[in-house]
Amino acid sequence: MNYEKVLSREDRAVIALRALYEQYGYSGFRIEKFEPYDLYRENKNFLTAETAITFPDSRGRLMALKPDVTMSIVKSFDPKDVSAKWHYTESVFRRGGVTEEFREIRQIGIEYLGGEKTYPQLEVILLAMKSLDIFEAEGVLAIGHMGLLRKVLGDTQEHRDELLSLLRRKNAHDLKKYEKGEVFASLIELPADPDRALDHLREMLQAYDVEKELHELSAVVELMHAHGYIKQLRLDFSVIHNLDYYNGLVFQGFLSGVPKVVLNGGRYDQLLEKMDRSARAIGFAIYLDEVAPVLAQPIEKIDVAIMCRTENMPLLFETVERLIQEGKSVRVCDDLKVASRANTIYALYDDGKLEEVSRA
Amino acid sequence: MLKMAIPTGRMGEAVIEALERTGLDCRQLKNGSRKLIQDLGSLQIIRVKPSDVAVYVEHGVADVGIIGKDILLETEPDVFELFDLGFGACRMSVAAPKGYEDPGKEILRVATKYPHTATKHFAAKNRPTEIIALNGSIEIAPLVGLSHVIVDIVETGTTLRENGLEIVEVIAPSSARCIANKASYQFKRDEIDALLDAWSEK
Repeated sequence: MNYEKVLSREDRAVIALRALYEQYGYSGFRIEKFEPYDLYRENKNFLTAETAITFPDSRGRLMALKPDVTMSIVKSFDPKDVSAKWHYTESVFRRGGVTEEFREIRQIGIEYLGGEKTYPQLEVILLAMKSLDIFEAEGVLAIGHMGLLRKVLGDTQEHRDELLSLLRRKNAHDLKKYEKGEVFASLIELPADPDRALDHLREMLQAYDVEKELHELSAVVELMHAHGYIKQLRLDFSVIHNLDYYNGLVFQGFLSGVPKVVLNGGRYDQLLEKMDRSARAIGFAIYLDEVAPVLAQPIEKIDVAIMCRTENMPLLFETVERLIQEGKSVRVCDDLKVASRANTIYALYDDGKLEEVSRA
Repeated sequence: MLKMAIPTGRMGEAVIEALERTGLDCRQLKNGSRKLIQDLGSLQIIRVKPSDVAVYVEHGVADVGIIGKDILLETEPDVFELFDLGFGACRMSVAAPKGYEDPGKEILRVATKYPHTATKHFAAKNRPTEIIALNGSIEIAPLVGLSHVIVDIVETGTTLRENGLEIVEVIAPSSARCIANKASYQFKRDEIDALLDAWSEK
């Protein structure tokens, strides 16, 4: 049987992504659909503005339809293990959007917990780039750094939310009205070329102790040069994840033809700390529903429709089987409107003869 | 080709003038045509209701758009806000009848076309309010006892004065802003930057 034929472009992409992650030593992770809400309550800000869908179970415990995969994976991580590498293909469920409707969000992603200081995060970023490539559309990975932003922000809590919100919107004109606004504005006005962007950053941030962070960014730039991805990389400080959980490199992926972010990821050691598992952690998720525009394909037509003009069921089944053996897809129906969706329409008579039916 | 959503109405006219200043031939936009989509060579113009501009941009149907800051404050779309064009200047304000004093213990009734902005503003001050959403002629509300104050954009203040109202507090200044879809910006940055450079030089 030709299994290839039944795979949609999305199925193929998901299989290719899983194969990619397994090549790099990630194992599949499976999660229950329901979990006690307690897991999420303490770190609910880790989720975006959208909220979990909750309900009581038979013992009165408040349960949640899994709103997030990362926290479940972190929960399963024993910090005594040196490291853990997981990939997953899971749906998460949240309430959100203009009308607060329930939504199923299908994701595929990886998490790298523990491990060394440098290699894991470079591997994950390389895999993010390679993942974008699988969708056969022009991709861009935009990278920022929460640790660097934190240092530039300094201790000041005043205006912090406004500043982050303006950075996220690349609103340089309003940023410049704030103290240090010029520095912040320059962070979102970097050249598209990553090497030139790095030079700009070194120049602008001389007064700040950000050598370590710049070194991490420059390691990413070097890696992308080495793997031929440099044209798809941007240094972009409008990529901002929650400061309470993310502490290092953060990134977002885009595909030409898709209006929204298709990949979100970053370094989130602080989530592990809050969940009493002190270790390094980095990962990303790809939103399969957002990727849909680049995976669109014409609706596959059925090869043959048979309009039955006989009561002889064994004859009908024999005919269907024969056509399937010949490699055709077959639909039996008596309605011409339905049948006309097939490439060829036949009528089957008592004598076993197949006669082509006109669409008119 | 870059796709730009521009608002119908007065701000739309100002946008067309601003585009002309960059050297673009905009004659076909000015001949009174009711065509909503028009190609100007390197730029496709989509004319939509002012409050819908951000929707078109956020969903990537338009790469960029021109929109009043007042609407951005109200709808908080997930887009880049790249440039302040300066025109269409006004102030998002709290206004009330002359001699107004906050009714203290009472819940403050606020009439507005901008319920989200008003809610956020008063919540930040911990002031309990009842937001009354209206679609127009907001100035009437305090005059007929529907609300204590209004939250609205004030351009010259003439309408307020003629109705015996005055500004109590300015929430934020507003003007026309150029917004961009976050993905479009990644793939069409050169075209977008060229447009913004042309504007910032004028």
